[in-house]
Amino acid sequence: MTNRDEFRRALLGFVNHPRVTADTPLFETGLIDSLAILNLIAVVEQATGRPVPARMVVMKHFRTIDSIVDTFGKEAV
Amino acid sequence: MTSAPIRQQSELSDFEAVDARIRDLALREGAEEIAYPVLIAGEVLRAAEYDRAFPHLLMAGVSACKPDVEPKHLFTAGNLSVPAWFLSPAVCYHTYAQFAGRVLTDSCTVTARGKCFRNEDRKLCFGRRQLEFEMREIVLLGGQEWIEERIPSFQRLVESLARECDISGTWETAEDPFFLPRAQGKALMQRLLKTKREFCVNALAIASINRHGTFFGERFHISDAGGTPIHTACIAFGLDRWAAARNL
Repeated sequence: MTNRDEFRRALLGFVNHPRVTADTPLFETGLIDSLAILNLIAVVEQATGRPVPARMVVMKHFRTIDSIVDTFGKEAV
Repeated sequence: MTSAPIRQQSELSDFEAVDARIRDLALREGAEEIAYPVLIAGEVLRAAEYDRAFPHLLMAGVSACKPDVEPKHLFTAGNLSVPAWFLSPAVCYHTYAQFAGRVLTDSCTVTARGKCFRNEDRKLCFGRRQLEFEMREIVLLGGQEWIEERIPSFQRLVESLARECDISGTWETAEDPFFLPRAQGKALMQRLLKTKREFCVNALAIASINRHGTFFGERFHISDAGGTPIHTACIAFGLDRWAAARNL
């Protein structure tokens, strides 16, 4: 089990929806709202041990759980 | 000192001509024209979460609890009523309140012009930052697909109006001045979803297109015939800024 796998599992656990997989769009489907985005960022920060700069919070990096893992997974500890 | 420019003669005609043109275009696009009051109920702004997102911009209509005190104490901190009414910060909140609780069997376009008020802590500059300004808005209420089909035509409408006025501007993805950190989540969602586009002239936004998703449909219980919250969007024109941009 790699850190990336654990990171992906933590994110899936956070979203906690039976039909959500790592490539499900999180925002177009309304799964993440203005409250959940803050908690989602907290999960990323906890996994990486670093704050997520606001400039990194763009769709390219957050569209799906896979996008989040691709962007921040290298730093997952 | 005034909170907004005083306009007369040619300035007033020019200002009214800009609004008349936007109004005509809106009516041609099938909008129904509505006139709203200047004051808006606190409960409407609370339902819209305006007090969470932009508390720093809100201006209230307060009265003195005890009018018989010395005039110098009339509007001091201990003698202010809890305001039930606020000065409208934008026009479209009236529309959501007007449609609250309704089932829309068909999509709907509304246009309204109104005086708006926002508490500016920076130096005021007419045509750029004013405490009091006028906006014309076009509000779309309906299904997501219908709104997405309509928005490009309103975008072209803004561009053609700018050309008519000899204004050269560009569209930019924009963010509202959310109250941070409390409204950080709303600010991040707006950036992620790119829900706000502004038509800018020299870094000054003179019009904007705002997609709200089902935010207002949910909060004001406006639904389609199947009971699903409707989507909304608004196209806002800052008339003071538009008039000023013509003279740049």
